[in-house]
Amino acid sequence: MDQDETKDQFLTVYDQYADDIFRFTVLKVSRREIAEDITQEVFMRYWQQVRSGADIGNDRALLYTMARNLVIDWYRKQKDQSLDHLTEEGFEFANDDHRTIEEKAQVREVLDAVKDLDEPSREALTLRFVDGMSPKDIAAISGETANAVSVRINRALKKVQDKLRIHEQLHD
Amino acid sequence: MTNPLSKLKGIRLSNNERLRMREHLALYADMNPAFDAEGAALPERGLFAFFSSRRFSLYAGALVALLVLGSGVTLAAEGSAPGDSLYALKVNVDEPVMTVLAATPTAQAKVAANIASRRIDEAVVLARRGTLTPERQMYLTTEFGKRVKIATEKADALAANGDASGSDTVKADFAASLAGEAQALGAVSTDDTGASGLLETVVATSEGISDGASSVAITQTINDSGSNTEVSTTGDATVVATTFAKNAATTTVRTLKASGKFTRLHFNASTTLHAAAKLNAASLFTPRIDIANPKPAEPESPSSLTGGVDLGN
Repeated sequence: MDQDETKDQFLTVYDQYADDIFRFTVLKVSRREIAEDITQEVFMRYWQQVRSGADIGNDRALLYTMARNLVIDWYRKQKDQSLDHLTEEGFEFANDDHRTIEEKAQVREVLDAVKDLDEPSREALTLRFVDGMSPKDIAAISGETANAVSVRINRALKKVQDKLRIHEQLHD
Repeated sequence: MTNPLSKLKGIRLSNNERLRMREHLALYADMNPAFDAEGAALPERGLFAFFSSRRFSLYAGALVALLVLGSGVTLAAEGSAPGDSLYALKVNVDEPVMTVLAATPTAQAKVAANIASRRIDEAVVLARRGTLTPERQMYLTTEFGKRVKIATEKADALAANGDASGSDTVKADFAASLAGEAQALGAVSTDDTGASGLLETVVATSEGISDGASSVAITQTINDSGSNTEVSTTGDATVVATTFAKNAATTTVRTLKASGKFTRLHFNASTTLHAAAKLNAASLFTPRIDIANPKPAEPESPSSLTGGVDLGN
């Protein structure tokens, strides 16, 4: 495989997972720009693995693990960042995002429902129901057992559903 | 209830963001080619395909220089100044690459600010060598001004797009960095070195960026052959005093002390005590600064509490 083929494969992986990694990151760091920077850094580090010929195995798991580690590094440098910023100030959609007001409101509504979850539960829930990962795949990233991940997901899902039901009742 | 979390799929990169990042990553891959098992770079599809690609035509100079010279040379170019053999590589390769790889407006503002500061660093290097000619000072002043303009425009754009906090942070950091640069330039600024004009520009720029929030004045009194020359820098109280104390204290103050030219360092800030605490932590002065009893305000600046330290020269 030559350089162009390797690069094409790399960009295909980017096309497939860029949004997932961005979303995973922005739900943790709360700021769109920071999440963009970290997302780009994740793929640059992923390229370093690809170019060296390392046996990557599971691209997706590696990308999420890299994103997780970069977020941890970022947290260490911050004083006080929380998901409250994301919901109190309103999630920042990009200027060229042309979805309807209703669609954006629905995103914000769900964000509000998940923000009170603890970080591991929020991560597991979004990896399962937004990114479609199995508890086993999530366990490989988080370091918990698959069983612990399943329990965490079920508890967190119930909390979110309860909160959204309350929201529906209030707005009926 | 259907899966409510599927709504979070609405959180994604915009088309422009995704495409811009893709371009950056493609360039990054070009500049860091893959290896084969023996550690040799993989071949391109063909030289014709490579040289006729749109990306090559966009970044031809940068790519050719890196391929020919290798990344180790660009590292050596980092410390070069106008007149050095590697300086062209620094400004025509390294800095365009830094600019291209800055993915967000904040990163772009920071890169522009960083490159502006580099021009001042180069002036300091040349002044120490005694080779800061009027032509070189003119060049560095002009290039510094260009980058300052870009950095402030990018920072203003952040505020215009609703990120006032990000804009303020970029500007405060830049102003504080320039205050530190002014310190270093002041240390080498004499009638002979030719740096005084650029120094005035740097000080004025720092004040302008911080919107003249000059509750801080860091004043150096130079006592050289009986004549006193005062150089002052101003900036945001907390940032300049803290930054000065944390970063510049361990470098700039040592430089100032070692030069033998400075007799006293004044602090005129609401965060004097904070700055003094940081300097004490750096163990730069013996005896340690008396935080509880900083020196009273100088007669010419009665409005603020002034702290100061004798430099022992």
